Amino acid sequence: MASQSDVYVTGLAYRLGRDLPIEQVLAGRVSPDLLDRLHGVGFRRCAVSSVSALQLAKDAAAAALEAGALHPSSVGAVVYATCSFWDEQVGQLSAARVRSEVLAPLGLGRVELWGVGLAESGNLASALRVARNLLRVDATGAVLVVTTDKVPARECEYRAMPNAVAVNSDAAAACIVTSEAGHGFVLEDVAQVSSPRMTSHAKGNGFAKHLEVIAGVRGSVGAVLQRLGLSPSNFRWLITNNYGIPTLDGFANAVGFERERLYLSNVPRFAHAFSADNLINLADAVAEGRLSAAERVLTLSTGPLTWGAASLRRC
Amino acid sequence: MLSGKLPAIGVRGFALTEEPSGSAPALELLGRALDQTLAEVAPAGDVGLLLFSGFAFSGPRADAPWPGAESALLDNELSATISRDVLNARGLAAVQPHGVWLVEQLPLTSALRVARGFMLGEGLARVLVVTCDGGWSGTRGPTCAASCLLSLDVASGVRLGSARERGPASDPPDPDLTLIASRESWAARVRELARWMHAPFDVEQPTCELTEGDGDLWRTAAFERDAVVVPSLRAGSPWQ
Repeated sequence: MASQSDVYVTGLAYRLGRDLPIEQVLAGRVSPDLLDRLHGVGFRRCAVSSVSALQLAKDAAAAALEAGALHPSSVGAVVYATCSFWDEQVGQLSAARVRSEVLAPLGLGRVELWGVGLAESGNLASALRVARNLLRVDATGAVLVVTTDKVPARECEYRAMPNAVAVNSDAAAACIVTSEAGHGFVLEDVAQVSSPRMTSHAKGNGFAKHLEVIAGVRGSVGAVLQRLGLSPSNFRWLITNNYGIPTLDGFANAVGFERERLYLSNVPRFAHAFSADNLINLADAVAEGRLSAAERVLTLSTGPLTWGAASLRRC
Repeated sequence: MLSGKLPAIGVRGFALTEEPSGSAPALELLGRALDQTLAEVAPAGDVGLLLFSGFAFSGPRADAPWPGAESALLDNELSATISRDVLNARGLAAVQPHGVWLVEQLPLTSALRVARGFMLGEGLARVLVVTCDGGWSGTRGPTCAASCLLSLDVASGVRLGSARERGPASDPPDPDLTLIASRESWAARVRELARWMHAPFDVEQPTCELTEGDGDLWRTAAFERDAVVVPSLRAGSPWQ
Protein backbone atom coordinates (compact mmCIF):
# COMPACT_ATOMS: atom_id res chain seq x y z
CA MET A 1 0.00 0.00 0.00
CA ALA A 2 1.45 3.36 -1.02
CA SER A 3 1.47 6.51 1.10
CA GLN A 4 -1.92 8.10 1.57
CA SER A 5 -3.08 11.69 1.39
CA ASP A 6 -5.63 13.10 3.82
CA VAL A 7 -9.32 12.45 3.33
CA TYR A 8 -11.93 14.90 4.63
CA VAL A 9 -15.58 14.59 5.62
CA THR A 10 -17.71 17.69 5.17
CA GLY A 11 -21.23 18.78 4.24
CA LEU A 12 -22.99 16.93 7.06
CA ALA A 13 -26.75 16.98 6.58
CA TYR A 14 -29.80 14.92 7.40
CA ARG A 15 -33.55 14.57 7.07
CA LEU A 16 -35.70 12.99 9.74
CA GLY A 17 -39.29 11.82 9.48
CA ARG A 18 -42.06 13.48 11.45
CA ASP A 19 -41.26 13.87 15.14
CA LEU A 20 -43.72 11.91 17.26
CA PRO A 21 -43.88 10.60 20.83
CA ILE A 22 -43.23 6.87 20.99
CA GLU A 23 -46.50 6.34 22.89
CA GLN A 24 -48.38 7.59 19.85
CA VAL A 25 -46.35 5.62 17.31
CA LEU A 26 -46.40 2.38 19.27
CA ALA A 27 -49.97 2.59 20.56
CA GLY A 28 -51.58 -0.79 20.23
CA ARG A 29 -48.45 -2.29 18.68
CA VAL A 30 -46.39 -3.12 21.74
CA SER A 31 -47.24 -4.21 25.24
CA PRO A 32 -47.37 -1.69 28.09
CA ASP A 33 -44.44 -3.54 29.60
CA LEU A 34 -42.26 -3.00 26.52
CA LEU A 35 -43.28 0.63 26.36
CA ASP A 36 -42.20 1.04 29.98
CA ARG A 37 -38.89 -0.62 29.25
CA LEU A 38 -38.31 1.63 26.23
CA HIS A 39 -38.96 4.66 28.42
CA GLY A 40 -36.65 3.24 31.02
CA VAL A 41 -33.69 3.10 28.64
CA GLY A 42 -34.15 6.67 27.47
CA PHE A 43 -36.45 6.64 24.44
CA ARG A 44 -39.09 9.37 24.22
CA ARG A 45 -39.71 10.28 20.58
CA CYS A 46 -39.07 8.83 17.15
CA ALA A 47 -39.24 9.94 13.53
CA VAL A 48 -41.85 8.53 11.17
CA SER A 49 -41.72 9.47 7.52
CA SER A 50 -44.61 9.59 5.10
CA VAL A 51 -42.20 9.67 2.16
CA SER A 52 -39.97 6.91 0.88
CA ALA A 53 -36.38 6.20 1.84
CA LEU A 54 -35.47 7.33 -1.68
CA GLN A 55 -37.09 10.73 -1.07
CA LEU A 56 -35.38 11.05 2.30
CA ALA A 57 -32.08 10.25 0.60
CA LYS A 58 -32.65 12.89 -2.06
CA ASP A 59 -33.44 15.54 0.53
CA ALA A 60 -30.40 14.69 2.66
CA ALA A 61 -28.11 14.57 -0.37
CA ALA A 62 -29.33 17.96 -1.57
CA ALA A 63 -28.73 19.40 1.88
CA ALA A 64 -25.23 17.91 1.99
CA LEU A 65 -24.30 19.46 -1.35
CA GLU A 66 -25.53 22.81 -0.05
CA ALA A 67 -23.82 22.47 3.33
CA GLY A 68 -20.59 21.45 1.65
CA ALA A 69 -20.91 24.19 -1.00
CA LEU A 70 -20.25 21.52 -3.61
CA HIS A 71 -21.49 21.85 -7.17
CA PRO A 72 -22.87 18.58 -8.58
CA SER A 73 -20.30 18.67 -11.36
CA SER A 74 -17.60 18.17 -8.73
CA VAL A 75 -19.12 14.93 -7.46
CA GLY A 76 -17.29 11.94 -8.89
CA ALA A 77 -19.21 9.15 -7.21
CA VAL A 78 -22.13 8.43 -4.93
CA VAL A 79 -21.96 5.76 -2.23
CA TYR A 80 -25.47 4.73 -1.21
CA ALA A 81 -25.99 2.77 1.99
CA THR A 82 -29.21 1.18 3.12
CA CYS A 83 -30.64 -1.92 4.73
CA SER A 84 -34.26 -1.15 3.82
CA PHE A 85 -35.23 -3.08 0.72
CA TRP A 86 -38.56 -4.68 1.16
CA ASP A 87 -42.16 -3.57 0.63
CA GLU A 88 -42.37 0.04 -0.42
CA GLN A 89 -38.59 0.45 -0.20
CA VAL A 90 -37.92 -2.14 -2.92
CA GLY A 91 -36.94 0.71 -5.24
CA GLN A 92 -33.67 0.89 -3.37
CA LEU A 93 -32.65 -2.33 -5.10
CA SER A 94 -32.80 -0.63 -8.48
CA ALA A 95 -29.95 1.48 -9.77
CA ALA A 96 -32.35 3.03 -12.28
CA ARG A 97 -34.70 4.19 -9.54
CA VAL A 98 -31.94 5.51 -7.30
CA ARG A 99 -30.56 7.38 -10.28
CA SER A 100 -33.91 8.77 -11.41
CA GLU A 101 -35.46 9.54 -8.00
CA VAL A 102 -32.43 10.53 -5.92
CA LEU A 103 -29.55 11.54 -8.16
CA ALA A 104 -30.99 12.95 -11.39
CA PRO A 105 -33.00 15.70 -9.63
CA LEU A 106 -29.72 16.85 -8.08
CA GLY A 107 -27.84 16.86 -11.38
CA LEU A 108 -26.05 13.62 -10.49
CA GLY A 109 -27.82 11.24 -12.86
CA ARG A 110 -24.66 10.07 -14.58
CA VAL A 111 -22.35 9.89 -11.61
CA GLU A 112 -20.78 6.57 -10.59
CA LEU A 113 -23.10 4.81 -8.16
CA TRP A 114 -22.07 2.30 -5.52
CA GLY A 115 -24.51 0.63 -3.18
CA VAL A 116 -23.12 -0.80 0.04
CA GLY A 117 -24.77 -3.03 2.57
CA LEU A 118 -24.77 -6.04 4.88
CA ALA A 119 -23.48 -4.08 7.90
CA GLU A 120 -26.99 -2.69 8.44
CA SER A 121 -26.95 -0.04 11.17
CA GLY A 122 -23.18 -0.16 10.79
CA ASN A 123 -23.36 0.66 7.08
CA LEU A 124 -21.81 4.11 7.55
CA ALA A 125 -18.40 2.63 8.29
CA SER A 126 -18.68 0.47 5.15
CA ALA A 127 -19.65 3.52 3.11
CA LEU A 128 -16.80 5.63 4.47
CA ARG A 129 -14.32 2.89 3.61
CA VAL A 130 -15.59 2.54 0.04
CA ALA A 131 -15.63 6.33 -0.42
CA ARG A 132 -12.12 6.70 0.95
CA ASN A 133 -10.85 3.93 -1.31
CA LEU A 134 -12.46 5.51 -4.37
CA LEU A 135 -10.54 8.68 -3.58
CA ARG A 136 -7.28 6.97 -2.77
CA VAL A 137 -7.12 4.36 -5.48
CA ASP A 138 -9.20 5.77 -8.32
CA ALA A 139 -8.94 9.54 -7.68
CA THR A 140 -12.66 9.63 -8.29
CA GLY A 141 -13.24 13.17 -7.11
CA ALA A 142 -15.54 14.13 -4.26
CA VAL A 143 -17.74 11.26 -3.10
CA LEU A 144 -21.27 11.90 -1.86
CA VAL A 145 -22.15 9.39 0.87
CA VAL A 146 -25.83 8.85 1.57
CA THR A 147 -27.38 6.53 4.10
CA THR A 148 -31.13 6.11 4.22
CA ASP A 149 -33.55 3.74 5.92
CA LYS A 150 -37.21 3.42 6.69
CA VAL A 151 -39.14 0.92 8.75
CA PRO A 152 -41.67 -1.09 6.69
CA ALA A 153 -45.20 0.24 6.93
CA ARG A 154 -46.75 -3.13 7.68
CA GLU A 155 -47.27 -4.41 11.19
CA CYS A 156 -43.96 -5.66 12.46
CA GLU A 157 -41.66 -5.61 15.41
CA TYR A 158 -39.08 -3.39 13.82
CA ARG A 159 -40.37 -0.01 14.94
CA ALA A 160 -39.65 -1.10 18.48
CA MET A 161 -37.28 -3.97 19.10
CA PRO A 162 -38.73 -6.53 21.54
CA ASN A 163 -35.49 -6.52 23.52
CA ALA A 164 -35.91 -2.75 24.07
CA VAL A 165 -32.51 -2.01 22.57
CA ALA A 166 -33.95 0.32 19.95
CA VAL A 167 -36.91 2.26 18.67
CA ASN A 168 -36.26 2.69 14.95
CA SER A 169 -36.74 5.97 13.12
CA ASP A 170 -37.01 6.85 9.43
CA ALA A 171 -34.19 9.09 8.30
CA ALA A 172 -31.42 9.78 5.83
CA ALA A 173 -28.09 11.47 6.35
CA ALA A 174 -25.38 12.47 3.93
CA CYS A 175 -21.88 13.86 3.81
CA ILE A 176 -19.14 14.57 1.32
CA VAL A 177 -15.89 12.64 1.40
CA THR A 178 -13.20 14.54 -0.41
CA SER A 179 -9.48 15.06 -0.74
CA GLU A 180 -10.00 18.82 -0.65
CA ALA A 181 -9.31 20.33 2.77
CA GLY A 182 -12.37 22.11 4.08
CA HIS A 183 -14.28 23.04 7.18
CA GLY A 184 -15.35 19.58 8.19
CA PHE A 185 -13.31 16.71 9.56
CA VAL A 186 -10.20 14.79 8.69
CA LEU A 187 -11.12 11.12 8.39
CA GLU A 188 -8.10 9.77 10.22
CA ASP A 189 -8.99 6.11 10.10
CA VAL A 190 -11.89 3.69 9.89
CA ALA A 191 -11.99 0.00 10.72
CA GLN A 192 -14.59 -2.75 10.86
CA VAL A 193 -14.82 -6.12 12.56
CA SER A 194 -17.37 -8.84 11.79
CA SER A 195 -18.43 -12.02 13.49
CA PRO A 196 -20.60 -14.22 11.28
CA ARG A 197 -20.45 -16.76 14.09
CA MET A 198 -23.04 -14.57 15.82
CA THR A 199 -25.59 -16.39 13.71
CA SER A 200 -24.65 -19.74 15.23
CA HIS A 201 -25.88 -18.77 18.68
CA ALA A 202 -29.28 -20.20 19.40
CA LYS A 203 -32.17 -17.94 20.33
CA GLY A 204 -32.01 -17.14 24.00
CA ASN A 205 -28.24 -17.35 24.17
CA GLY A 206 -28.03 -13.67 24.84
CA PHE A 207 -24.90 -13.75 26.95
CA ALA A 208 -22.81 -15.33 24.20
CA LYS A 209 -24.12 -12.73 21.76
CA HIS A 210 -23.35 -9.96 24.21
CA LEU A 211 -19.76 -11.15 24.47
CA GLU A 212 -19.47 -11.19 20.67
CA VAL A 213 -20.82 -7.65 20.48
CA ILE A 214 -18.40 -6.36 23.09
CA ALA A 215 -15.53 -8.12 21.34
CA GLY A 216 -16.57 -6.54 18.05
CA VAL A 217 -16.85 -3.07 19.54
CA ARG A 218 -13.48 -3.43 21.22
CA GLY A 219 -11.92 -4.89 18.08
CA SER A 220 -12.98 -2.08 15.77
CA VAL A 221 -12.19 0.71 18.23
CA GLY A 222 -8.92 -0.94 19.23
CA ALA A 223 -7.81 -1.19 15.61
CA VAL A 224 -8.33 2.52 15.04
CA LEU A 225 -6.71 3.58 18.32
CA GLN A 226 -3.72 1.32 17.80
CA ARG A 227 -3.08 2.41 14.23
CA LEU A 228 -3.31 6.08 15.18
CA GLY A 229 -1.43 5.74 18.46
CA LEU A 230 -4.31 7.33 20.36
CA SER A 231 -6.27 6.60 23.52
CA PRO A 232 -9.85 7.44 24.53
CA SER A 233 -8.60 10.59 26.27
CA ASN A 234 -7.71 12.01 22.86
CA PHE A 235 -11.38 12.16 21.88
CA ARG A 236 -13.97 14.74 22.89
CA TRP A 237 -16.91 12.48 22.11
CA LEU A 238 -17.78 8.87 21.51
CA ILE A 239 -20.60 9.07 18.97
CA THR A 240 -22.63 5.90 18.59
CA ASN A 241 -25.84 4.62 17.14
CA ASN A 242 -28.73 5.74 19.31
CA TYR A 243 -29.56 2.55 21.14
CA GLY A 244 -30.89 2.37 24.69
CA ILE A 245 -28.66 4.19 27.14
CA PRO A 246 -27.62 1.11 29.16
CA THR A 247 -26.39 -0.48 25.91
CA LEU A 248 -24.39 2.64 25.07
CA ASP A 249 -22.99 2.78 28.60
CA GLY A 250 -21.80 -0.76 28.03
CA PHE A 251 -20.10 0.23 24.77
CA ALA A 252 -18.36 3.21 26.40
CA ASN A 253 -17.22 1.11 29.31
CA ALA A 254 -15.94 -1.62 27.01
CA VAL A 255 -13.66 0.76 25.12
CA GLY A 256 -12.55 2.89 28.07
CA PHE A 257 -14.53 6.05 27.43
CA GLU A 258 -15.85 8.03 30.40
CA ARG A 259 -19.63 8.31 30.49
CA GLU A 260 -19.32 12.09 30.11
CA ARG A 261 -17.83 11.64 26.65
CA LEU A 262 -20.77 9.61 25.40
CA TYR A 263 -23.00 11.69 23.11
CA LEU A 264 -26.53 10.85 24.22
CA SER A 265 -28.57 13.92 23.23
CA ASN A 266 -30.43 12.25 20.40
CA VAL A 267 -31.53 9.07 22.17
CA PRO A 268 -34.62 10.77 23.63
CA ARG A 269 -34.98 13.11 20.62
CA PHE A 270 -35.48 10.60 17.81
CA ALA A 271 -34.05 7.22 18.92
CA HIS A 272 -32.30 5.00 16.40
CA ALA A 273 -32.18 6.07 12.76
CA PHE A 274 -30.24 3.04 11.51
CA SER A 275 -26.84 3.96 10.05
CA ALA A 276 -27.78 7.64 9.82
CA ASP A 277 -27.28 7.98 13.58
CA ASN A 278 -23.57 8.76 13.47
CA LEU A 279 -23.79 11.53 10.87
CA ILE A 280 -26.82 13.11 12.56
CA ASN A 281 -25.13 13.09 15.95
CA LEU A 282 -21.96 14.48 14.44
CA ALA A 283 -23.85 17.27 12.67
CA ASP A 284 -25.72 18.14 15.86
CA ALA A 285 -22.58 18.15 18.02
CA VAL A 286 -21.08 20.69 15.64
CA ALA A 287 -24.28 22.76 15.43
CA GLU A 288 -24.55 22.83 19.22
CA GLY A 289 -21.01 24.15 19.52
CA ARG A 290 -19.90 21.07 21.42
CA LEU A 291 -16.91 20.36 19.25
CA SER A 292 -14.04 22.79 18.77
CA ALA A 293 -11.40 22.95 16.08
CA ALA A 294 -8.81 20.15 16.28
CA GLU A 295 -10.97 18.10 18.66
CA ARG A 296 -11.59 14.48 17.77
CA VAL A 297 -14.65 12.26 17.83
CA LEU A 298 -14.73 8.51 17.62
CA THR A 299 -17.78 7.21 15.79
CA LEU A 300 -19.02 3.72 16.46
CA SER A 301 -21.24 2.22 13.72
CA THR A 302 -22.70 -1.03 14.93
CA GLY A 303 -24.97 -3.57 13.32
CA PRO A 304 -25.98 -7.06 14.42
CA LEU A 305 -22.68 -8.67 13.42
CA THR A 306 -20.45 -5.96 12.00
CA TRP A 307 -18.96 -3.19 14.12
CA GLY A 308 -17.10 -0.17 12.77
CA ALA A 309 -15.14 2.69 14.27
CA ALA A 310 -13.84 5.88 12.71
CA SER A 311 -11.65 8.65 14.03
CA LEU A 312 -12.57 12.13 12.84
CA ARG A 313 -10.64 15.29 13.72
CA ARG A 314 -12.35 18.62 13.26
CA CYS A 315 -10.51 20.97 10.92
CA MET B 1 -4.42 9.22 -4.88
CA LEU B 2 -1.90 6.47 -4.58
CA SER B 3 1.54 7.14 -5.89
CA GLY B 4 4.40 4.87 -6.85
CA LYS B 5 4.26 1.32 -8.17
CA LEU B 6 1.10 -0.48 -7.17
CA PRO B 7 1.33 -4.01 -5.81
CA ALA B 8 0.11 -6.84 -8.01
CA ILE B 9 -3.23 -8.41 -7.18
CA GLY B 10 -3.33 -12.12 -7.90
CA VAL B 11 -6.58 -13.75 -9.01
CA ARG B 12 -6.83 -17.33 -7.84
CA GLY B 13 -9.41 -20.08 -7.72
CA PHE B 14 -11.75 -18.54 -10.27
CA ALA B 15 -14.85 -20.71 -10.27
CA LEU B 16 -18.15 -20.62 -12.08
CA THR B 17 -21.27 -22.62 -11.29
CA GLU B 18 -24.38 -22.72 -13.41
CA GLU B 19 -27.83 -24.18 -13.24
CA PRO B 20 -29.20 -24.16 -16.77
CA SER B 21 -32.74 -24.78 -15.66
CA GLY B 22 -32.67 -21.70 -13.52
CA SER B 23 -34.26 -23.61 -10.70
CA ALA B 24 -31.49 -23.62 -8.12
CA PRO B 25 -31.50 -20.85 -5.53
CA ALA B 26 -28.80 -18.30 -6.25
CA LEU B 27 -27.42 -18.66 -2.77
CA GLU B 28 -26.87 -22.38 -3.30
CA LEU B 29 -24.93 -21.82 -6.51
CA LEU B 30 -23.00 -19.03 -4.86
CA GLY B 31 -21.98 -21.45 -2.13
CA ARG B 32 -20.91 -24.07 -4.64
CA ALA B 33 -18.74 -21.58 -6.50
CA LEU B 34 -17.21 -20.45 -3.24
CA ASP B 35 -16.51 -24.07 -2.30
CA GLN B 36 -14.57 -24.55 -5.54
CA THR B 37 -12.52 -21.43 -4.87
CA LEU B 38 -11.76 -22.42 -1.30
CA ALA B 39 -10.83 -25.95 -2.35
CA GLU B 40 -8.39 -24.64 -4.92
CA VAL B 41 -6.72 -21.88 -2.96
CA ALA B 42 -7.31 -22.99 0.64
CA PRO B 43 -6.79 -19.53 2.10
CA ALA B 44 -5.60 -19.27 5.64
CA GLY B 45 -7.77 -17.51 8.18
CA ASP B 46 -6.73 -14.04 7.11
CA VAL B 47 -9.29 -13.27 4.44
CA GLY B 48 -10.25 -9.69 5.15
CA LEU B 49 -13.53 -9.42 3.35
CA LEU B 50 -16.01 -11.28 1.23
CA LEU B 51 -17.75 -9.14 -1.33
CA PHE B 52 -21.16 -10.08 -2.64
CA SER B 53 -22.67 -8.56 -5.72
CA GLY B 54 -24.98 -9.45 -8.50
CA PHE B 55 -28.42 -9.52 -9.97
CA ALA B 56 -29.47 -12.08 -7.44
CA PHE B 57 -29.40 -9.46 -4.73
CA SER B 58 -30.87 -6.75 -6.88
CA GLY B 59 -33.99 -8.23 -8.33
CA PRO B 60 -37.54 -7.38 -7.41
CA ARG B 61 -39.13 -9.21 -4.52
CA ALA B 62 -40.70 -11.77 -6.78
CA ASP B 63 -37.16 -12.81 -7.70
CA ALA B 64 -35.98 -13.09 -4.13
CA PRO B 65 -32.64 -14.84 -3.82
CA TRP B 66 -33.78 -17.56 -1.48
CA PRO B 67 -37.11 -19.03 -0.44
CA GLY B 68 -38.83 -16.83 2.07
CA ALA B 69 -36.83 -13.73 1.31
CA GLU B 70 -39.97 -11.93 0.30
CA SER B 71 -41.11 -12.05 3.90
CA ALA B 72 -37.92 -10.50 5.23
CA LEU B 73 -38.65 -7.22 6.94
CA LEU B 74 -35.21 -5.72 6.60
CA ASP B 75 -32.03 -7.07 5.15
CA ASN B 76 -31.21 -8.44 8.58
CA GLU B 77 -32.50 -11.64 7.09
CA LEU B 78 -30.15 -11.42 4.13
CA SER B 79 -27.16 -10.53 6.26
CA ALA B 80 -27.93 -13.30 8.72
CA THR B 81 -28.51 -15.84 5.96
CA ILE B 82 -25.24 -15.02 4.22
CA SER B 83 -23.36 -15.05 7.50
CA ARG B 84 -24.86 -18.35 8.63
CA ASP B 85 -25.20 -20.31 5.38
CA VAL B 86 -22.26 -18.98 3.40
CA LEU B 87 -19.58 -17.79 5.82
CA ASN B 88 -20.12 -19.62 9.09
CA ALA B 89 -20.87 -22.90 7.33
CA ARG B 90 -17.44 -22.77 5.69
CA GLY B 91 -15.42 -21.80 8.73
CA LEU B 92 -15.11 -18.19 7.58
CA ALA B 93 -16.47 -17.08 10.93
CA ALA B 94 -14.41 -13.91 11.20
CA VAL B 95 -14.71 -12.71 7.61
CA GLN B 96 -16.70 -9.55 7.02
CA PRO B 97 -19.53 -9.82 4.51
CA HIS B 98 -19.70 -6.69 2.39
CA GLY B 99 -22.50 -6.10 -0.07
CA VAL B 100 -22.02 -4.27 -3.37
CA TRP B 101 -25.44 -3.22 -4.61
CA LEU B 102 -26.99 -1.18 -7.41
CA VAL B 103 -24.72 -2.80 -9.98
CA GLU B 104 -27.28 -4.88 -11.89
CA GLN B 105 -25.55 -4.87 -15.26
CA LEU B 106 -22.04 -4.66 -13.84
CA PRO B 107 -21.76 -7.19 -11.03
CA LEU B 108 -18.31 -8.72 -11.41
CA THR B 109 -16.38 -5.70 -12.62
CA SER B 110 -17.95 -3.63 -9.85
CA ALA B 111 -17.07 -6.14 -7.16
CA LEU B 112 -13.52 -6.40 -8.48
CA ARG B 113 -13.16 -2.64 -8.43
CA VAL B 114 -14.42 -2.33 -4.87
CA ALA B 115 -12.16 -5.19 -3.83
CA ARG B 116 -9.20 -3.55 -5.53
CA GLY B 117 -9.98 -0.40 -3.54
CA PHE B 118 -9.92 -2.27 -0.25
CA MET B 119 -6.64 -3.94 -1.16
CA LEU B 120 -4.74 -0.98 -2.57
CA GLY B 121 -6.40 1.64 -0.40
CA GLU B 122 -6.27 -0.20 2.92
CA GLY B 123 -3.77 -2.96 2.38
CA LEU B 124 -6.17 -5.87 2.84
CA ALA B 125 -4.13 -8.89 1.78
CA ARG B 126 -6.91 -11.23 0.75
CA VAL B 127 -10.46 -10.61 -0.43
CA LEU B 128 -12.97 -13.17 -1.62
CA VAL B 129 -15.31 -12.01 -4.35
CA VAL B 130 -18.58 -13.79 -5.04
CA THR B 131 -21.12 -12.62 -7.55
CA CYS B 132 -24.23 -14.25 -8.89
CA ASP B 133 -26.97 -13.83 -11.43
CA GLY B 134 -30.60 -14.62 -10.93
CA GLY B 135 -32.74 -16.76 -13.10
CA TRP B 136 -34.29 -18.76 -10.28
CA SER B 137 -37.69 -18.00 -11.73
CA GLY B 138 -36.64 -19.81 -14.86
CA THR B 139 -37.38 -16.81 -17.01
CA ARG B 140 -34.07 -14.99 -17.08
CA GLY B 141 -31.68 -17.62 -18.30
CA PRO B 142 -29.37 -19.71 -16.17
CA THR B 143 -28.69 -19.12 -12.53
CA CYS B 144 -24.97 -18.76 -12.17
CA ALA B 145 -22.37 -17.63 -9.71
CA ALA B 146 -18.68 -16.80 -9.94
CA SER B 147 -16.12 -16.73 -7.19
CA CYS B 148 -12.43 -16.01 -6.80
CA LEU B 149 -9.82 -15.00 -4.26
CA LEU B 150 -7.88 -11.79 -4.77
CA SER B 151 -4.54 -11.81 -3.06
CA LEU B 152 -1.63 -9.43 -2.67
CA ASP B 153 0.77 -12.27 -1.95
CA VAL B 154 0.81 -13.80 -5.43
CA ALA B 155 3.58 -12.66 -7.73
CA SER B 156 2.72 -14.74 -10.77
CA GLY B 157 -0.22 -16.31 -12.53
CA VAL B 158 -3.35 -14.34 -13.31
CA ARG B 159 -3.32 -10.77 -12.04
CA LEU B 160 -5.99 -8.10 -11.88
CA GLY B 161 -4.84 -5.00 -13.67
CA SER B 162 -7.15 -2.05 -13.90
CA ALA B 163 -10.78 -2.03 -12.87
CA ARG B 164 -12.58 1.09 -13.88
CA GLU B 165 -15.56 2.93 -15.22
CA ARG B 166 -15.43 3.96 -18.84
CA GLY B 167 -17.67 5.37 -21.49
CA PRO B 168 -17.69 4.57 -25.20
CA ALA B 169 -17.12 8.10 -26.43
CA SER B 170 -14.34 9.31 -24.18
CA ASP B 171 -12.74 6.09 -23.10
CA PRO B 172 -13.40 3.21 -25.48
CA PRO B 173 -12.21 -0.33 -24.80
CA ASP B 174 -8.72 -1.21 -25.90
CA PRO B 175 -8.96 -3.20 -29.17
CA ASP B 176 -5.57 -4.72 -28.50
CA LEU B 177 -6.94 -6.58 -25.53
CA THR B 178 -8.88 -9.78 -25.75
CA LEU B 179 -12.22 -8.18 -25.19
CA ILE B 180 -15.04 -10.04 -23.52
CA ALA B 181 -17.89 -7.70 -24.24
CA SER B 182 -21.59 -8.12 -24.57
CA ARG B 183 -22.71 -11.70 -25.00
CA GLU B 184 -26.12 -13.21 -24.79
CA SER B 185 -25.92 -13.37 -21.03
CA TRP B 186 -23.76 -12.51 -18.09
CA ALA B 187 -23.05 -16.21 -17.65
CA ALA B 188 -21.68 -16.43 -21.18
CA ARG B 189 -19.28 -13.58 -20.53
CA VAL B 190 -18.04 -14.99 -17.26
CA ARG B 191 -17.78 -18.48 -18.80
CA GLU B 192 -15.45 -17.03 -21.41
CA LEU B 193 -13.39 -15.32 -18.73
CA ALA B 194 -13.16 -18.58 -16.78
CA ARG B 195 -12.06 -20.40 -19.90
CA TRP B 196 -9.27 -17.89 -20.48
CA MET B 197 -8.13 -18.11 -16.88
CA HIS B 198 -8.01 -21.89 -16.83
CA ALA B 199 -6.69 -22.57 -20.32
CA PRO B 200 -3.01 -23.30 -20.88
CA PHE B 201 -0.99 -20.12 -21.20
CA ASP B 202 -1.16 -18.67 -24.67
CA VAL B 203 1.53 -16.16 -25.53
CA GLU B 204 -0.87 -14.65 -28.07
CA GLN B 205 -3.43 -13.89 -25.37
CA PRO B 206 -1.58 -12.75 -22.26
CA THR B 207 -4.27 -10.23 -21.41
CA CYS B 208 -8.03 -10.29 -21.15
CA GLU B 209 -10.58 -7.60 -20.46
CA LEU B 210 -14.04 -8.22 -19.10
CA THR B 211 -16.56 -5.55 -19.98
CA GLU B 212 -19.98 -5.33 -18.35
CA GLY B 213 -22.81 -2.94 -18.97
CA ASP B 214 -24.28 -1.36 -22.03
CA GLY B 215 -25.42 1.94 -23.41
CA ASP B 216 -23.19 4.71 -22.17
CA LEU B 217 -22.13 3.12 -18.90
CA TRP B 218 -19.82 0.21 -18.54
CA ARG B 219 -17.13 -1.01 -16.27
CA THR B 220 -14.12 -3.06 -17.20
CA ALA B 221 -11.68 -5.30 -15.43
CA ALA B 222 -8.40 -6.10 -17.14
CA PHE B 223 -6.45 -9.26 -16.37
CA GLU B 224 -2.98 -10.33 -17.34
CA ARG B 225 -1.10 -13.55 -16.86
CA ASP B 226 2.27 -15.12 -17.41
CA ALA B 227 3.47 -18.63 -18.02
CA VAL B 228 4.90 -19.29 -14.58
CA VAL B 229 1.76 -20.52 -12.91
CA VAL B 230 -1.10 -22.11 -14.81
CA PRO B 231 -4.20 -22.61 -12.69
CA SER B 232 -5.18 -26.23 -12.46
CA LEU B 233 -8.03 -27.54 -14.50
CA ARG B 234 -10.69 -28.95 -12.32
CA ALA B 235 -12.56 -32.08 -13.28
CA GLY B 236 -16.13 -31.32 -14.09
CA SER B 237 -15.59 -27.62 -14.36
CA PRO B 238 -18.01 -26.07 -16.83
CA TRP B 239 -15.30 -24.45 -18.93
CA GLN B 240 -13.59 -27.76 -19.72
